[in-house]
Amino acid sequence: MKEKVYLINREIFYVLSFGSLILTCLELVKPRLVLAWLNINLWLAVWLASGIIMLAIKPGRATAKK
Amino acid sequence: MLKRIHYLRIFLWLILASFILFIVWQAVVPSGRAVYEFDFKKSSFFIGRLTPRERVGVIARGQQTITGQPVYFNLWTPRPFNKLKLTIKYKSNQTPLIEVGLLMNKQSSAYYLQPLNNETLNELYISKNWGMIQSGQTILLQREETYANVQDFLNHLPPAKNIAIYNYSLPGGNYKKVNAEFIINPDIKYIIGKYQLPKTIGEWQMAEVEFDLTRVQRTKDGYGLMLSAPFLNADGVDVSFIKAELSGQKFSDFFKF
Repeated sequence: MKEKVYLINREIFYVLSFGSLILTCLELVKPRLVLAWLNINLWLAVWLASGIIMLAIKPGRATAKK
Repeated sequence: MLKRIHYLRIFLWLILASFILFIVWQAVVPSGRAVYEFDFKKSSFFIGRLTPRERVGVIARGQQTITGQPVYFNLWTPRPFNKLKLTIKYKSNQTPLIEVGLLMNKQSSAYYLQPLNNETLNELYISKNWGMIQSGQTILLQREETYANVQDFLNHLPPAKNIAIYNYSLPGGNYKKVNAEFIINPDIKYIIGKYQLPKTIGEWQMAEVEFDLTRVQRTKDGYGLMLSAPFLNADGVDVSFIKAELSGQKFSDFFKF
């Protein structure tokens, strides 16, 4: 179960990370364009949360503790 | 399990790709048409708030009162457009004249003004004592129905003392202008102007004004707009809705040779 959550979370984290990069580039090229359609606070909050969860439940780390 | 994760991965990347495509689509506006609204309930990224703060009341119950004039707001667009149709829902509170201005040049702060509401013309029309003929954006009000259409009036102009003009130019003559201090004397028999009568929705009025954007200097904040109400009374002017309909070149036009 833990591994399942980790894998799902990892995929979300990767997509959000790459998305942040692309959207930042778009915003630099055309200011206000992304911010007009996206709540950047919400995006970063979800991205941060997924990153923290990923680190917290990393299977390798749990095994090392045992 | 790994297969499911694989599907999830495809699904998530597809969502991201769709969102990026949506953003790019909004930037290009391939259809050449865009509509942005501000309802005074939820802030709009495209139509800015009315400023300066000292001249407006607080936004409450989906409306805002203009207590000083003029007030300014910006219309931000992701690309340039050729035409702007601005629809504003307002309560004039007997303010004789309300005009909308478009910033033509930032350095000189030159605004091109278009009438939004003219109480004198509205009252003449509502009273039904004057006949009205509309031809495009031009209206002709006549005390007695002498002319069948606007062209007929322009071809056979009566003496200048019988004519009053509003936001309109006629050849020669010293015509009276329908402004806030205008008083209809018995000599005035015809009023011609470029004006669209507002629609009445309950207590509110809704009026449209059109601007040509081709010679307008667009800044990083978009297009500068102004609401002017000379002779603003103590009740001010309430505004509850602003809609901007923009039209410009279609994306496909760029590939025509």
